[in-house]
Amino acid sequence: MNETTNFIRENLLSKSKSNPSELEERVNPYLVVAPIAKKSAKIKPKKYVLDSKSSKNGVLKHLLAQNNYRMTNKLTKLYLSSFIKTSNHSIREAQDVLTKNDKIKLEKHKRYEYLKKEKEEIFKKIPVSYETLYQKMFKEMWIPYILDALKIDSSQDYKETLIKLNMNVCLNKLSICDFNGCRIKVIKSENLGYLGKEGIVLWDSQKTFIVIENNSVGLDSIKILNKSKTIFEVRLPISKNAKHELIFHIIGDRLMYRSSDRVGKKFKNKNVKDLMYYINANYLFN
Amino acid sequence: MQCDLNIPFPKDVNKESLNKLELILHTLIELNYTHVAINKQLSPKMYYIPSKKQKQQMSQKEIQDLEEFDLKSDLETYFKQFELLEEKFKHKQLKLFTRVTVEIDDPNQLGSIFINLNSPSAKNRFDLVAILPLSEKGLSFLTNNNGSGSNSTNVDIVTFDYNNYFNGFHLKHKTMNGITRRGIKVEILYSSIFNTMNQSNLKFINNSKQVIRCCRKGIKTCIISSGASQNVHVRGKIAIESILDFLGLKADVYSRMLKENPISSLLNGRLRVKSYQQTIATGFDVMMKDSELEQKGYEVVNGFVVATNNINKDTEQEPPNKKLKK
Repeated sequence: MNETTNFIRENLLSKSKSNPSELEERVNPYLVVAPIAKKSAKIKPKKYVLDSKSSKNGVLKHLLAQNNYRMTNKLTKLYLSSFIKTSNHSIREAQDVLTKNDKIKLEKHKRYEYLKKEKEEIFKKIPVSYETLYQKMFKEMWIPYILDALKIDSSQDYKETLIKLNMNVCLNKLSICDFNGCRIKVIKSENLGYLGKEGIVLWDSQKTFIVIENNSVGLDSIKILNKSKTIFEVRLPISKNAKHELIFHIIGDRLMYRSSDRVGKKFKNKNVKDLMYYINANYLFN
Repeated sequence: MQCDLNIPFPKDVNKESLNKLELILHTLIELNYTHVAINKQLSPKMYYIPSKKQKQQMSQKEIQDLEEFDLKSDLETYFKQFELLEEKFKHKQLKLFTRVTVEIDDPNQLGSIFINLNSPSAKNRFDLVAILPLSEKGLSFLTNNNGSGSNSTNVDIVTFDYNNYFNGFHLKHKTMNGITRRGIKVEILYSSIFNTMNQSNLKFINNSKQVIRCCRKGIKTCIISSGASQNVHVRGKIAIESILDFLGLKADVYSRMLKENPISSLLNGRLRVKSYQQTIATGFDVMMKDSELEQKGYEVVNGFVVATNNINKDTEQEPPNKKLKK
């Protein structure tokens, strides 16, 4: 080594950095081939968790600041998915309790009564049964509301009342009205697994109906039905004892709005190329 | 499934002309057609209502001709004959639909005809609404969105007069793409290839080539149908494919022009009648007519579809079943 390099190492480089051997490489006249440093691993997107500690009133602060439609969508997704997961988990717990005590072969209302008397903690977590919702939400609340909106008298003869009505006005009102508490049934869809499922609507979100399904064997469970590429049937009883019913179809692709946003909405006709499943598929193959 | 959405309704309603129409329908059944629309054509003389100033410029003969013709009674006779035809072909595989085509020369002459044809308060509504532009102004009716042009969303099909040259206008990519993006289909009528009068078979080839060129080879846009006024001019599936092959189309387009594209235009027209802006529809099935629904046990009152249940009988029968199980 020369004198000059010693001088540089001892006096100049040692002051700028603690380990002078790293800096020595820069002084080296030859080109050093070194492997490129590894890319840092991808940062995973944060999972938002609903905790009372990290936020006020169960809502994250930074999400509240951006008061967008997208953000509200994200929050409802979080809340609903956590609600459905916990309720479905507790249904499994309750069914285990029933099988252990040999009560699962009882009739349906007796199963709920048994849980209410003996296992109160589990019973509070389980969603309400289909029959009580059918009585309280559908029969006592939704039907009087919709008959009032369409101006149909259920006490009179149904033919006389229907002749007075204008059909196009009725359809316009139905497109605006609220579907929470209504009983719906899937009639046609691209997803064949959905066919024939029916239930009472708990929540009418932008892209889904959240529904309680009737289960005669076990306990009733919550299901999510997508609106896209499905058609729902609504049957509206107009006379006593539900002898005569009106039939309507909801086309899910065109109703992708929340019920509160639907009020001032002007619907328009669109291209029909995504609605081809509405026609019977048997036509196309023959 | 095969569709033929253009069978012209005779201008003069006689026994002979109606017999000709029935003959065409019988031949269509033998050729395995399932969905057929019967077409009523309206020329500008039929719907034009001139103002006072315009009447002063016209001669007396023209005014007399205008006053003699009555549109309402003419449409009523059409719907009467259509109901009679529906009853005759009730038990066969054929499904009949109504259709109207409006010839447009000048959009200012239209007035309120589209509102009258499409109004929900009207008794009889057409399943399909088509437009036949006679000049370039008539075609621009579809592309404009102001004033009366806002009714252009209610149109399903655009047709052309294939027997004559398009006088004075030339189709462009830009205008046709704007029309077809909204779901409006473009129609080709093949019956004029058998007509040798005035060299119309040659004009057909020229015109149809021009339509196919600007519609991107008609894969998702074109439909083919016969405008046949005689039963001899109707052809089956294989003969139509040879015509399309002659026009320079490929084999994957044949079935689309006969099956999927016309069905989608039928669905568009049928949803306009039976639903509110494609959101909520009445009835059990959109494509079913009222007479078909009554056969299946449903009741139709003022457009509403009513189903009758026998729930009371079922609930009475349930308790004894439960006792048997125990």
